[in-house]
Amino acid sequence: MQDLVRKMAIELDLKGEVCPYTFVKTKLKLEELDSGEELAVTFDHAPAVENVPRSLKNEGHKILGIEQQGDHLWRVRIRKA
Amino acid sequence: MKLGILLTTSPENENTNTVIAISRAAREQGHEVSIFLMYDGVYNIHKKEFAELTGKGVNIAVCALNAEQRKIGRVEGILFGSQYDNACIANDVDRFISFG
Repeated sequence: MQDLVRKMAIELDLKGEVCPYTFVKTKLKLEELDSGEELAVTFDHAPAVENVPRSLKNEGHKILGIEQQGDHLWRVRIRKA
Repeated sequence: MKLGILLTTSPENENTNTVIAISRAAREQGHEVSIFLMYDGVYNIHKKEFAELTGKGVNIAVCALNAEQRKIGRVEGILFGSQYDNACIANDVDRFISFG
């Protein structure tokens, strides 16, 4: 089931992006989604992994999980409010 | 009153002493103070006066990207945030002063 949910998530690749574009591009992508839809964002910038989820939670979105996939690679799953 | 301060210059600039003095005076009069440090302003987190300000209830955040670029290590009591935090401060306060 978890795999199915993952497949349904919309993917956003933000490798190579730094603050503030990591947050801005995530927010813009979320605006294209309907409430309840899931977005999975890939970052390779460590400060973004801490700050983007915190900022999104402040905006009312739900952070479903943060998974480290490599030395400098993270995947953050977000449910749109 | 809520006061927001943006500081973008390094500690040797006179802006640092001005920000410290304004923040102390504002806190002594009961005002809320939030400071955001970016660009070379992130170097200010190593000044003991800024640690004292956090002890007096001043909220201090730095741009984590600018700190990382300048090899600045974390300091307890100071948020390593982003421009989102700067925007929140600017949106939340009654007066916002920029020192750059």
